[in-house]
Amino acid sequence: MNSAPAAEHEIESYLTRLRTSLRGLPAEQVEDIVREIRSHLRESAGTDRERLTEALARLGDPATLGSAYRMDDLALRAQSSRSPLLLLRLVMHWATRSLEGLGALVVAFLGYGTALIALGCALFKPFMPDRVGLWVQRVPPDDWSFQLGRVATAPADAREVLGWYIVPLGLLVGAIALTATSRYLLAKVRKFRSARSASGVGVRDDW
Amino acid sequence: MASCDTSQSEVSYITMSQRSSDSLAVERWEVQARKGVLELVVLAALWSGRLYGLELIRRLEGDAQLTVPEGTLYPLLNRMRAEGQVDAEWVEAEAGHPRKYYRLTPEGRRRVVQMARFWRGFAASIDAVLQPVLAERRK
Repeated sequence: MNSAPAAEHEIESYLTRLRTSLRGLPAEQVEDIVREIRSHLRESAGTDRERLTEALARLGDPATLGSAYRMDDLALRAQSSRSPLLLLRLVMHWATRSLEGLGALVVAFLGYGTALIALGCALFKPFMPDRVGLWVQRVPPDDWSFQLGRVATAPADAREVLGWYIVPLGLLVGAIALTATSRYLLAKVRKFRSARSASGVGVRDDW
Repeated sequence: MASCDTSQSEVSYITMSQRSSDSLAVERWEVQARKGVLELVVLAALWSGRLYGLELIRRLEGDAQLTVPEGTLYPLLNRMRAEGQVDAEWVEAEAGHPRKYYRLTPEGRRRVVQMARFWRGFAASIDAVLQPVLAERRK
């Protein structure tokens, strides 16, 4: 008889931890998920502590369960908006758990970094024409030094080689780097999502 | 004597590690195969009517001897709802606690039909390829 409040307490403490790990999702969605898991636990265990322990074990760590919901939500939003920021957030999260994710993060930084620099050059050139460009300088005996971007002062005895071509070129390179990186990451996200579900279907009493 | 022991234990160590890396590879492959059919199994279970999560789990265990871990099922159902393959509605149960029922949307129905058709053909082809493998083992 007195196991009922204890079981109820255990359920609520699990749900509190689940709610914490769902932070970031819309409030109504959080409540909906919590309500569903509460209903599941109450019905599968009733007031039986042993069955409750088993049911909780099958649901797994609330932090893991919550992060499954959050990742799905993030992936869905990233896929529909194609926003580089959302994609970057997702890949950063993924990088913390797999080597492949870390690889994707490196590509993301390189790709988006290139896009940022190229677009930045194109956008800043009209406002500071003397300080944005690509400078090439000969370093004796047979080396070259390159400097691209916005500089405080144009390097002495270096030749600026792009001139105003940096505007269309920067826009082009930036756009290509931006879309190519996003497409690569979206493909990764799809793969990541299909692989993410922790475990698949099993056969009872196993094969 | 001592050297004999060492070589024996080395041999058994090698066969053991060989075996465990084999079974590990098979296990990894099994996990992939199980994940692949998860969506099909869940959509197919909803074919003849609405079910709530626990009912779905019990249905799969009872009728098909299939287990789906709850920690995987609930996020999957949530994702399928977001993608429009299933609809969800809360229903007050006579027992006093509300249940969240899922049903297939027309899109979900189309999808599961396509998946089932593919699976039939695929399974038949795999069976044909497996026949010599399994026949060999019986001998």
